[in-house]
Amino acid sequence: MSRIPLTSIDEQPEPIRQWMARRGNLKVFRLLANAPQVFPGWTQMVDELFESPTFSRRMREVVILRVAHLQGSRYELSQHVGIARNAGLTDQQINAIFDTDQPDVAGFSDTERTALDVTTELCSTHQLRDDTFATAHAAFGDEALTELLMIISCYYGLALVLNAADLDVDAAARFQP
Amino acid sequence: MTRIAYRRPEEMTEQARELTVKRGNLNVYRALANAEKVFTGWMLAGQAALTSPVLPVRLRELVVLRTAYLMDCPYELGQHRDVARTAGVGPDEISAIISESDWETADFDD
Repeated sequence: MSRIPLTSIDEQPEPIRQWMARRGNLKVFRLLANAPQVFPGWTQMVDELFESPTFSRRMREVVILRVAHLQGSRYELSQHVGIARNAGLTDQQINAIFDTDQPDVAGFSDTERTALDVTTELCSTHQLRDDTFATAHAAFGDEALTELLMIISCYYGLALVLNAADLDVDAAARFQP
Repeated sequence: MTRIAYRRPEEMTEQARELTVKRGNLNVYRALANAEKVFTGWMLAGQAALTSPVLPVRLRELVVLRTAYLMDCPYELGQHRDVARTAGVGPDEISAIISESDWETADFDD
């Protein structure tokens, strides 16, 4: 049971209602809409993260699932496992991402492994060692690496909000990436 | 020394440049502007959080400093120490927030 009451969609201003119609009528959005001063800016950030062509959908979902797992976010996992499957990840690969120590490398590309290493180290130590950074920078360059870090930070922070509110997973509504 | 090169304002899109200049051309913006496809949304989200009238500025800065300390982030601490002082957080209070346990005994209100 969510500890913070969920807003009703009917109460939302028209642009937010339209955004939810496009992205899904998710409980997380009804939760965040309790903060109308900051929610619209957040929706724009999410749109840009998902509309950017920098990463494949599959790469993005690898990173999101790893953050969700390390942050203990049942809600993020419940939404993104299905998206990850649709983006081409097998159940075996998804289970590997949920290995607590180091995801089994089989089935992931070199760049996916690098992204998983960055995510694991950042979420567990809050820092990146010089060699981890150098490998990631060589693989991605300034623009893509910065964008990767911003995806991690979005889901890392959102997981904190979801865990604090103890939000229930959605029955049927699914995020439209 | 930053590991990611800073974008110069003239290398940014017009909207990114306007937001960056308006918010003080900070190194954090110049670094994140490398991700030009997602930077604008992040800037607008951050701006909304920092200008919302819902939380008193002092309370917001207490939370920001505590987060920065717990995330081991010298950059956030460097920026927000000054913002916090301006918002009325005293030097002793700042020291308490950025220590392991002093915040529990310092003289904050409930």
